[in-house]
Amino acid sequence: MKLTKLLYIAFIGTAFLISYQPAEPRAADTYALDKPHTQITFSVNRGGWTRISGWFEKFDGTILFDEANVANSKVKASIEAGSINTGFAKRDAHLRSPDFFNAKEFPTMLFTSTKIVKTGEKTGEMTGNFTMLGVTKPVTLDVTFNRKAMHPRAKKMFTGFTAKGSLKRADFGMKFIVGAVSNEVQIEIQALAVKK
Amino acid sequence: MHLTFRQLITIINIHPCLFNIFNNKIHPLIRQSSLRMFKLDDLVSEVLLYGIAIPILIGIAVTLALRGCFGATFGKRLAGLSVGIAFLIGYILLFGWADFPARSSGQKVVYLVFAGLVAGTVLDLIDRKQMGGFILKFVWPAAIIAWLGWPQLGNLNAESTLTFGLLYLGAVIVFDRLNTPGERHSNLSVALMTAAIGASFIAFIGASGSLSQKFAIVVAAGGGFLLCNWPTSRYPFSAAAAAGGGGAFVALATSVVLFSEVHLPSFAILALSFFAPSLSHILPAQHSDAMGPVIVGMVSAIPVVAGVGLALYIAGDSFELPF
Repeated sequence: MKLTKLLYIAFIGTAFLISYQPAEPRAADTYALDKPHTQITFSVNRGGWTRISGWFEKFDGTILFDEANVANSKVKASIEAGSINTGFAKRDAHLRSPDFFNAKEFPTMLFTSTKIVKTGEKTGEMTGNFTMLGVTKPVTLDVTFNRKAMHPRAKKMFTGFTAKGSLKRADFGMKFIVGAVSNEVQIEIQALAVKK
Repeated sequence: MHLTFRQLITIINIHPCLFNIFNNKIHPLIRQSSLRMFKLDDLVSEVLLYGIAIPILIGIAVTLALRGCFGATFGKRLAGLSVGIAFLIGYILLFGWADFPARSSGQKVVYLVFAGLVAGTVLDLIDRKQMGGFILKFVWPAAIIAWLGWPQLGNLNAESTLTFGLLYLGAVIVFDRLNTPGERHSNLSVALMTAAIGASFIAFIGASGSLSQKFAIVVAAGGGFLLCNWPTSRYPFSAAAAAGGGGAFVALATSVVLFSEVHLPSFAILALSFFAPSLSHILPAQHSDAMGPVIVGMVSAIPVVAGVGLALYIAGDSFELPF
């Protein structure tokens, strides 16, 4: 009887130990940019009169998003320089020329994050290497995590971010008429990414 | 009569009118401009000062300095260096130092012109006309185009092969014409300048202001050398002038063809400007040292007007730099 009781307890204990699994650390999720719902825009000051805005139509990117530990997240993006659009064809042609983006010689701009720091509940600061016109310089963007949710119709997990920052175009060798068109370029990215 | 550099400075110092102009007008402007050298942001004044005025002055100064320092025979042979040197100085003033290694085609132009000056000087010094002619006409244009266009050379298709072929043919024509034996040296400067004027306009119409500025520097560099060669043609348009100054033109033209949206047929017409010195021989006034370059200028302006006219027609009603 005593032996049966002991065997019974041992069996229950072993079953419990086998069934118990400590929670695994949550892996970062990989997201791809949802291009129709992502916008990469910029604006410059033109001679103090107006700000001129534009956007890039062709780009690609992935986000490795670790919600539990944002510092482990990574962002990689590429932008086609020739896809610039400011709503005025002649200006776009000028922007693609060697005066500005030199799109035929440097067709692709690249961004790779190097450091992400959480600054608030839903905010962070992302620093990365940005390559344009063959020059690579660090750029810092203020990022806001907007929302993460399952899309009711697509049945996929989407996450949305806003990133804002600025850079000095002359640092990348884009020095044409720096006085007339501002050196500082304001950047705003509205990124929607779908989980892979 | 020709002046040595020392004589020129002496004349400026002793002639009261010239001294006053230099001391009161020109020197303050240079000093003020040098202090604001990297703050000038007006497109036109930057180009006028750094892209045109200074290269012309440098062209004159270097030509006379080389002649003065190295004597009648040697100095004259080296005087053609001034075209490339004036271009380099104007380029660096307007666009800054080129990175090493060069990142872009614009920066590669600097090193190409420098290499052209070195190679051209060596060819001038060894004085081997046949070998020098071959290198200048066939090897140098291939080197320029290959270095500027090597990424595309690795991915050739039918269209790009044709483009590179025509580009090489055009470059060979330019160097062949700039190396015409027996041609009056000032005529060759004029042909280069006129073609560069046309290229500058066409680049501007094709929405590339920076390339337009660079061609303007070529004009100014050739202009400084021309002013020392007119009305008497004294200094040979040597291999250094052709490889350096002509090299700048060909390198910029290659950049236009490969990396801009400039209308290429209008640009190609400019190559005909380089035939003007030869074609002008049938005109009687061409035999005069003073009138010859003027006649060549008028003849070489014909393809320039045609090219610019065609570019304007294609551009439509608005060709200003939109930004």
